Amino acid sequence: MRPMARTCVALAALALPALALGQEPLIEVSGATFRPLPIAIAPPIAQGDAASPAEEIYEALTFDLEVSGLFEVIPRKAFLADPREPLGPEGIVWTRWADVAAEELLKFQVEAGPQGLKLTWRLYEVATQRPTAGATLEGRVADARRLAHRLADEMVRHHTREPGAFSTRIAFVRRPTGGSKEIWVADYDGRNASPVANTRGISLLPTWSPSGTELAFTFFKKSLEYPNGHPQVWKANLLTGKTAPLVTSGDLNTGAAWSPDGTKIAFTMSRDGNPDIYVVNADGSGLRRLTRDPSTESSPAWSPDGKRIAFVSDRHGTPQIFVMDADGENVERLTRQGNYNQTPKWSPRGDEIAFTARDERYAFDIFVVNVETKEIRRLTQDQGNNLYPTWSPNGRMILFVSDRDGDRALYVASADGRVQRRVSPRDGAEYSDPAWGPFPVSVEARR
Amino acid sequence: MLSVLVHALVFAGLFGASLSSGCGGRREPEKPVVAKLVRLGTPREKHLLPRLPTAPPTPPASREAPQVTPGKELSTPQPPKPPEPPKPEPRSQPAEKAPPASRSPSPPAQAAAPKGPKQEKSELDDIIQRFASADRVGKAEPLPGLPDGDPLGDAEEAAEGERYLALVQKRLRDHYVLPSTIPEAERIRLSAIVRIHVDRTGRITRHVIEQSSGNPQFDAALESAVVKASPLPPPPEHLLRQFANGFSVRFRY
Repeated sequence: MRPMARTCVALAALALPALALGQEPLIEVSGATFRPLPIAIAPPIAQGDAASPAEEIYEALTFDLEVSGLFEVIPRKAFLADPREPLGPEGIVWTRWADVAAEELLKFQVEAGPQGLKLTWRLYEVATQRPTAGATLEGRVADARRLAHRLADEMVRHHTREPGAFSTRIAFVRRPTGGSKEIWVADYDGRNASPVANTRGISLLPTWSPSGTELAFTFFKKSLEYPNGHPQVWKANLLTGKTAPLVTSGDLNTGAAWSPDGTKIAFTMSRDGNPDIYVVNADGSGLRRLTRDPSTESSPAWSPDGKRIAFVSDRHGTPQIFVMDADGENVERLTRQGNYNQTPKWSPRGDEIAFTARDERYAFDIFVVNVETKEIRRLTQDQGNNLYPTWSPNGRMILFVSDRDGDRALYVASADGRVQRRVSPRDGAEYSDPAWGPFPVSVEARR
Repeated sequence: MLSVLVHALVFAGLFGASLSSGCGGRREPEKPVVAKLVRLGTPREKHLLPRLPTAPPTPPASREAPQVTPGKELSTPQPPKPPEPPKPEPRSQPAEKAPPASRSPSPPAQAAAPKGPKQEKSELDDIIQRFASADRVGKAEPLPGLPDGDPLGDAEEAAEGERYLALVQKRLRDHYVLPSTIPEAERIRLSAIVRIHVDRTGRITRHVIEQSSGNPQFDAALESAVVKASPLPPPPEHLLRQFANGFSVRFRY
């Protein structure tokens, strides 16, 4: 259209100046506020002795839907409907739900039988009184919460046509009082936690293999030469529980990041006191150096297409986020605000990088920078220190460490920062270095 | 004389041709000439990280017996020479000057408040107390602007243009609310033009979707935004004639 349009405009300007002068303004409005969908989750209908798992499902489902950032879950206390109202659609008094401003109504029924739990759910649009989705899920009684996560995943898929991430796993570092720092894995909400291996030492910075079956981490290996430990990159197999060193050369190896195709691992290696980014094949062969700068380069993070790597460098005086091609070429500075920017993590959509920054009040907080526009948005503020962001595999949530409640704990937030909830238990242990795992392989294949 | 006539004919012919080939018809509104009204206030320095207008809601977590076990990583960036640590004083009311944000003015987060006297001193508390002195943390403060800014402004930097259009834009944006369930991948492509007719008092008398986004959820949200934004500020005299046929608003994500 362009050349033709230009001719037109030029002609119009020549022939009819009045028209050109009278050109009317077009007002541009952008920057919408996104409003979460008000949804009511009706009290569960429990059959048999399913009352307790049904409440557990209710609680987990509420947590999931809230932290997704998509929904505003209407508090149960506000409900006007009869708590014994059936699954419907027959018997639902719609005005009672409309009166609490619910736009959608989620109802579910839990049956406990010899085979375990049977969860039947139905979703209704309150205004039209029509069912819009529903299914039946089955699982063990012990997995009540996981049934809720599967339901929440279905809800996200129904509304956004994108997979939910509530059935994924997270890895983190846990140190019980007086104990050592070990790598643990858990469900995304911190439940079903178990240690990966007992190394009786210091293990830090876990990173997932794209298949979700292996973790790489930094392990402080003690030896005669290094009585206090010497950081090396190790691998742990989650299926066998076996651990093995991956890179042992250099003075210091840390901060590994698995490439999205699973073939390579980028990490920080220090030789002669100069930390730089290196990359190695996942089997430990083919070590290559990517950055060659006398300053400190660290914390590599792959872009989801595997073509670029974000990292931290203090080559201009203060730690800032940079990006480069996966072969180390085309280095570009991304952040120019703040003077202490660290721990970049590329979003699964590839458009943003979350990082930790220290603001002018010396508080650590989570920020997100747009890779294209370099615009920075803030996620946390005025709630203690917030560090180490990691994205859910669908990019809708961010897990991070915060000391807002006094102890160092894990929190999950919707990607816009609106909803923030604690996930790690109050067990006196210290939690740090979270890494959100990938989708289970079957989900990935379905995308 | 002849040459003048020939020129005129050629010109008219060209213009006619261009009209018939799609240039004429409805005028395509082209350039937004909307002013950006800068907020009244003091500018925020360019090198600083952004701040949120209000603190995000504090999670409903019980606050009993906080137990601070500072981690190594947290204390590494020890700032240089600490100034005199301020005496922890009881937190007073939220700042009198509430930010002009339209969000719910939730009270400032309590999380960073100074801990009770029983609280064991930790490096983290030190950092918080020294450098984010108690009365500053979590306090609602004025947002950045310019000393000669507009009391109704909401931008950090000004842009030249028509002030009235900026007021209209702000009013529409205040009501521009979309459902979160629109998938992210679709959001960037969303764009629609709504034609709005206003009377002398600023009341919206009519609105038409001139160019649909193709997404019914999005279009419906725009209509609702336009309805809720009425009345707009009354248009100034010099724009009344120009707005006789209404004006167009392009909504983008």
